[in-house]
Amino acid sequence: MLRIESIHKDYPRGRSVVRALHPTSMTASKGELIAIVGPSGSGKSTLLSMIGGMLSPTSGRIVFEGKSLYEISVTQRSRLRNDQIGFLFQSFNLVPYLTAVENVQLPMTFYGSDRVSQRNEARRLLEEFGLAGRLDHKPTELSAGQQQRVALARTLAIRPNLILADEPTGNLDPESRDMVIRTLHDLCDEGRTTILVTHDETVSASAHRVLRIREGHTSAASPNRSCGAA
Amino acid sequence: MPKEQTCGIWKALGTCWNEPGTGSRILDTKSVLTRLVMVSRTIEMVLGEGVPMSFHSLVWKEMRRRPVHSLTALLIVALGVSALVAVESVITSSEQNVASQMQQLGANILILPEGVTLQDYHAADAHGKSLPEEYVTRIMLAQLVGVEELAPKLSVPVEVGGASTMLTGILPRTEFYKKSAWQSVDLLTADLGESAVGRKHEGCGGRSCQIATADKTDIGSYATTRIVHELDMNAALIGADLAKSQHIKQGQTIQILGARLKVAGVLPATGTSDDGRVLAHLHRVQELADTGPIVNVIEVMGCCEEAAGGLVGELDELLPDARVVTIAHIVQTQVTVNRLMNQLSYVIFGILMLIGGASIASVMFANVAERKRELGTLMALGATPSMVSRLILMKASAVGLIGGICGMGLGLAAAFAIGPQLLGVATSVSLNAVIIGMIAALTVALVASYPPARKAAHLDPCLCFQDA
Ligand SMILES: Nc1ncnc2c1ncn2[C@@H]1O[C@H](COP(=O)(O)OP(=O)(O)O)[C@@H](O)[C@H]1O
Ligand SMILES: [Mg+2]
Repeated sequence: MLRIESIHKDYPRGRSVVRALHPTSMTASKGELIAIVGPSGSGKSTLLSMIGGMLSPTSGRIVFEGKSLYEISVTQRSRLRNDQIGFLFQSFNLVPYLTAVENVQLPMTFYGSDRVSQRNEARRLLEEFGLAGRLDHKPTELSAGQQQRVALARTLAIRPNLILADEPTGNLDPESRDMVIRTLHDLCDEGRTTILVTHDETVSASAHRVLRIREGHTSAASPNRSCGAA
Repeated sequence: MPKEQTCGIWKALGTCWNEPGTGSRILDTKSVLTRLVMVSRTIEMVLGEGVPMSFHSLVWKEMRRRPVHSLTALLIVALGVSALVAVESVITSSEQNVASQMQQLGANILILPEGVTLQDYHAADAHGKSLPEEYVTRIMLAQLVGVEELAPKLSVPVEVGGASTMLTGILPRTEFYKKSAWQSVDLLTADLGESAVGRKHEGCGGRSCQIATADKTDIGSYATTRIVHELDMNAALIGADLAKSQHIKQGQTIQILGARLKVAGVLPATGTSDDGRVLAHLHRVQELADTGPIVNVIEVMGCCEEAAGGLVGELDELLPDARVVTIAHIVQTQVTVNRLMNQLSYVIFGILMLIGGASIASVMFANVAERKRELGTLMALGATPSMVSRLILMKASAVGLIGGICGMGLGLAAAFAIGPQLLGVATSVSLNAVIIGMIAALTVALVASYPPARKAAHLDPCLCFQDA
C-alpha cells in the first residue's frame, strides 16, 4: 500500500545544502507496524513528513494506494491525508482552545458537513478510550495520557489506512505508553498500517519491522516478527 | 410646530415609527428588547458550545480564548468609524438645521454692531456690543421696502432663582405705534396695526408674514414669530428649559435685577438658546440694567428673499456704523464649517483606518507566528492552505466588523449626546457614514490581513512535528 522509491531530502543551508536524508527505499504493506529508530537529528521526522505528503523529497517517489504523492495537487494531497492518513505527535498537538470532543471532531469538519453525526462519532470514540467524563475538557485540563488518548481518538475519527506517529510515547508514563502501543497493534490487526518513530527499545521491540537511521542513512528494515503474529 | 423626530436605524429594525400627523416618534422599547434578544441568540448559536462545531467556528473559539489580544486593533477601528459616524451625523443634523433656518428666516436680516462675527442666528444678541436704539426709528422712518417687522433686542446676564441666564429685552409691536405718533410722522399705512410695522414688498408673491390675529393675543407665539404684539412693562416671558429647571409657572412673580416681574407666559420649546432665557420689555431691561437706550441687535423681518438682497445695501447706507448681515450670510459660515468638519472627519477616519489596518496586520502576523504549530497540525490533519488562510482572514474580518459595529454604536451615541447641545437640533443618523464606515472597516481588515493570511497558507506543515 506504500512504496518509497529512493527518496532523499536536502535542506538548503546558506549557500550549500544539508542532506537530511540519504536515498532511501522501502515498502509497507497493509496491517504492518514499522518502527523507525535513530538518534535525534538523524532525519526521522523528515522521512515521516515526506511519507505524510507534507514535504516533497528532493528526488524519488512515494506511491501511496497507487497514487504518486507529489504528482498530485496540494489540495488533493490535503484531501488524501484527511481521508487516509492519521497522525500522532509527541506533544499530542491538540488544539488548545477546543474541548476534547471538538478536537476529535476537528478533522471530520474539514470536508464533511453533517455536524451532528460528527459530534456523535467523536463522543463514541472518546467513550471508547475511557474519556466519557472528559468530553468537554480543554487539553490543559487533561493529563498527558488523557491528551494522547484524545489525539488517538482524533486520528481514528477519519478511519485512516496509514498512521504516522512521531514519538507518540515520548511524553507518556509507562502505563499510557503501553495503552498507546496496544491500540496501535489493535489497529494493525484491523488492517491499518502504522509507521512509528520511537526512541524506546520496548516500543520498537514490539514492531513487525525496525528501520534504523543514523545521520540520514537508513539501514535495511530488520524484521522482528511477521505481520499479525503479535 | 412640534419638532420632527426621526426614527433612524430603529425604523429599519421595525421598532420605531412616526406617529402620523403629529410628527413625533414612537420607540417601542419592548420590541427593541425582543430584537436584541433574538440577535444575541443568533450570535450564541454561531459561537455557542451547545451546537456541534463547524470548521469556521474555530475562528470564534480561538478569538474567545483571548479576546484582549485583538482589542487594540478593534478599538482603533472602532474609534475611526465612531469619529466618522458622529461627525457626519452631527453635520447631517446641522445641514437640516441650516435648511430649516433658511426656510423659516430666509428673508430676515440682522443689524449688528461693527466687528461682531456671528454663527448662530438665535444667539445674535449674545456678544456684548451695542447699537443705539435710535437706529430702530431710523429704519422705520426710511420706510424701506421689504422691511415688515423690526425686532430690536438687548440681552444682559442675570440670575433667576440662583441660575445664571440671559434677560433679553424685546420691543412689542405696540411700541411702534406710539413711536410713530410721537414722531408725528404719517408713518405707515392705515392698516398698520393689522398687518406689518413696515412696508411690504410689492412684487413678492406667495408668502406673507402678516401676523395672524390669533398670534397678537397669544404671547407664546413669540416662539415662532419672534415678535410680540403687546407686552406689559412688568411682564416676563420664560423659555421652556428655564421654566422647567427653575419650576417657574405662568402667573408667578420672579425677582430679576431687584425688580419683580410677573410671568406672562412660558414659551414653547424651540430647541434654540431662547429656551433658556427670560424675555421682558426692552425699555424695562434698559432701565433695570441701567444701559441707556441701546440694543445688541436689530432683527429685520421680511418675507421676501428676493427683497433681502437689495435691502442689505440700503440698510448699509442708512446705518454706516452697523454691520448688516443676511441669514444666507450667517448660514454660509455654518455651511463652510460643516464642509471643513466633513473633510476633517474623513481625514481622521482615513488616518485611523490606516493605523487600524497596520495594527490588524501586526496582530495577525503575531497570531500566525504563535499558532505555527497549531496551523501546521491543521494542515497535517488535512486542512488545505486556503482553509488555513481563511481562518486568518475571517478572524481579521471579525475584528473589522465588530470594531465597525462598536464604532457605529459609539459614534451614534456621541452624536446623540453632543448633537442637541452643539446645534440645538435633534440628531439624525448619517446613513452614508454608517455604510461607508462599515464597508471601510471590513475592507481595511481584509486587506490588512491578506499578507498574514498568505503567510499562514505558506506555513510548513512539518512544523507540527516540532516539540511544544
Ligand atoms: N526545515 C528544515 N530546514 C533545514 N534543516 C532542517 C529542517 N528540518 C530538519 N532539518 C535538519 O534535518 C536533519 C533531520 O532533522 P529531523 O528529521 O527533524 O530529525 P529527527 O526527527 O530524527 O530528530 C537535522 O539535521 C535538522 O537540523
Ligand atoms: Mg523528530
